Amino acid sequence: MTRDEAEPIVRSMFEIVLNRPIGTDEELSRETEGGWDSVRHIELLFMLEEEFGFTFTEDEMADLNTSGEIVDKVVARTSDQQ
Amino acid sequence: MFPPAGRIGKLAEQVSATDAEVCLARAEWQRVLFAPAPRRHEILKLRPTWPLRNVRLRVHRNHGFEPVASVLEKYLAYTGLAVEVAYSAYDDSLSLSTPGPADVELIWLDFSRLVAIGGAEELAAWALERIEALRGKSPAPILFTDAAGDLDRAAEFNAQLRELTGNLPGVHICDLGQLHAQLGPAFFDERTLATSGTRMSNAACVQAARWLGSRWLPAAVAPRIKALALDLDNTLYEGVLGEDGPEGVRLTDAHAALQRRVVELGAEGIFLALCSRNEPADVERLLAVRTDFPLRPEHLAATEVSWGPKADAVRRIADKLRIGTDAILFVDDNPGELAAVASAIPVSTLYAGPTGADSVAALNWYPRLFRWRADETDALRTGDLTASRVREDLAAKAPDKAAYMRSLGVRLQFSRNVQGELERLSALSNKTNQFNLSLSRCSPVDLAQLLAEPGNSAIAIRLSDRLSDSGIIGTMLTRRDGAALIVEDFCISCRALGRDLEDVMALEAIRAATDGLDGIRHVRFHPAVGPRNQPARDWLDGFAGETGRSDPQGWVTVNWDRSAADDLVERMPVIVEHRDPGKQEQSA
Repeated sequence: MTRDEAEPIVRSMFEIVLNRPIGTDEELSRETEGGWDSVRHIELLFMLEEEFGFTFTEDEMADLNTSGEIVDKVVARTSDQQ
Repeated sequence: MFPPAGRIGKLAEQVSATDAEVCLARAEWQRVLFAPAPRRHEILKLRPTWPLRNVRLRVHRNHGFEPVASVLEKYLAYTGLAVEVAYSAYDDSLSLSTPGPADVELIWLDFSRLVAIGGAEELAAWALERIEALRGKSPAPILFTDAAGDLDRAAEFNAQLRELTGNLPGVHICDLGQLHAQLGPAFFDERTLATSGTRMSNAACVQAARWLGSRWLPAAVAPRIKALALDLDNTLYEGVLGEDGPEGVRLTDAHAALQRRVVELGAEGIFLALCSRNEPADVERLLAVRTDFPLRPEHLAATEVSWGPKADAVRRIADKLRIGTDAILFVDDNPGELAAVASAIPVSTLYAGPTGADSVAALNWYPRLFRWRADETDALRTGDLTASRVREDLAAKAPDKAAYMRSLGVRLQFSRNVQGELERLSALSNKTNQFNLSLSRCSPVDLAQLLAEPGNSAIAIRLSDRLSDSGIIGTMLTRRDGAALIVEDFCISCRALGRDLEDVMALEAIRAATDGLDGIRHVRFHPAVGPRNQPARDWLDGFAGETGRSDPQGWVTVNWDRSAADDLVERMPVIVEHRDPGKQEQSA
């Protein structure tokens, strides 16, 4: 999966868990996004696992802190699957 | 603490959908909520477009519940409930802080954190002690999720817990162990503990939310569905009766499973009715010749087959069953029919998918069908209804009313303060509408508290005759106030109405309640005005007669004259029995 393919899917998942529209150029960070708490974080990762069919490692769960990092991880992991 | 009010107001502002639109939107939700493996990202996308009633859920926990709560919110929204969750801190000692009222108390434990307490026996005793402590602080229903394989001898603990709590009113053990058995090792996901505060996997959290939101919580806070009104063509079988003929319609495996599920619900006390646009003769022949159908004519409490509007047919079914249309779940494969019925009458609707398999899942998970435990009257209802039709024939043929009553051998049995009957008496208090005099809507806990005071009574009234055993069909709740017996409530199931037994039920219930109470000279009632309880209020007017006195506070007082009551009851051709409380086991 390319970044262009992954990015809108990840964004739609963010919109569900944060309950607000996310702009196409908006970069989200756990530091600055108030609603992105640990519960929303785990929900987001669960949803991505459901959607893409892979599982994050415990370290990845702890270390993914921005929307860009998550998109990159999705691209890498879906490429691994192929 | 619960979150501040306001969320429901926002929802209410958004609600502008018509009943038909809501019905169709809810049909869309079915695919997501009742899927074999429901998915979090599909569930969380759902947004209700209908008004919701607030339910306050207080969670006493030692591990994370939040990954369950977000999904639970959607399942409860489907039921029409907006859940507000108040959390305890993570607390292995379960100290049970209860600031403010709650509608439901949920005890949510990771038992692997509690091994220091001891083995299964010690842990069950500890759980019982904590449940009783919570009961001392809150009258709300208590749900306790059992051990889900996260404990050595979990099955033994779960069995002991059920045994210890079996007779506690308003306490329900939620079978999370069964979900663990279904998911196996996939129930746990150790990766997530640090982030989510629970070892439960995503799948386990989503499925637990479904159990809580579709079964356990609705059973604790919402009235149960009383009847299914079922379409025939492409709902209970594949094909169209008018085109394929009775022998030509196809009972697929999925439709057979659906019919078996329907029969199962019938055995659990839900009336089954057919609601079909067809030729009545065709349906009669279908039921006669398709002996391979699990759903048989004897399972049906009503059959409405015509070419008229289905809303009218559902109304007639409600009349026949003596229930409100809002207690009926109308099942049809045609969204247009569902929408038309929903826009005409208050009714619950369920879309029957084309294959039958979706409908099986929907009837497994549709809220307000689950009940915690079998009620002895559940299995009696349909037989009782059939018997009522035979009674009507007998009444028409009998020379007079007394002869008719004698021919039936009507028997009324009265019992007082029996702990094991409190759940049933609470169900009567909450489910009856037409004959519910004071609308007190008592929970089992309310009844247990009533009986904690000496001189108070909860009378159970059983009815049977040679045609059927109706089980417990009435209750009178009383307390003493000086020389007066206060009737807190008097409720009779609609199945027992129309037989001129109300007076004798009242008099004998009062007799049972005053047994051992000297000096009772008056009986006082406080009727409440509800939308449907006019029959109960009319009865009281007649019962009080010219000698009864009403006061501006709404109390109706009648003199209590035991001998006059004896005379009246003696003239009634019914057999009256009082079960001796001294000889009853489990007497409260």
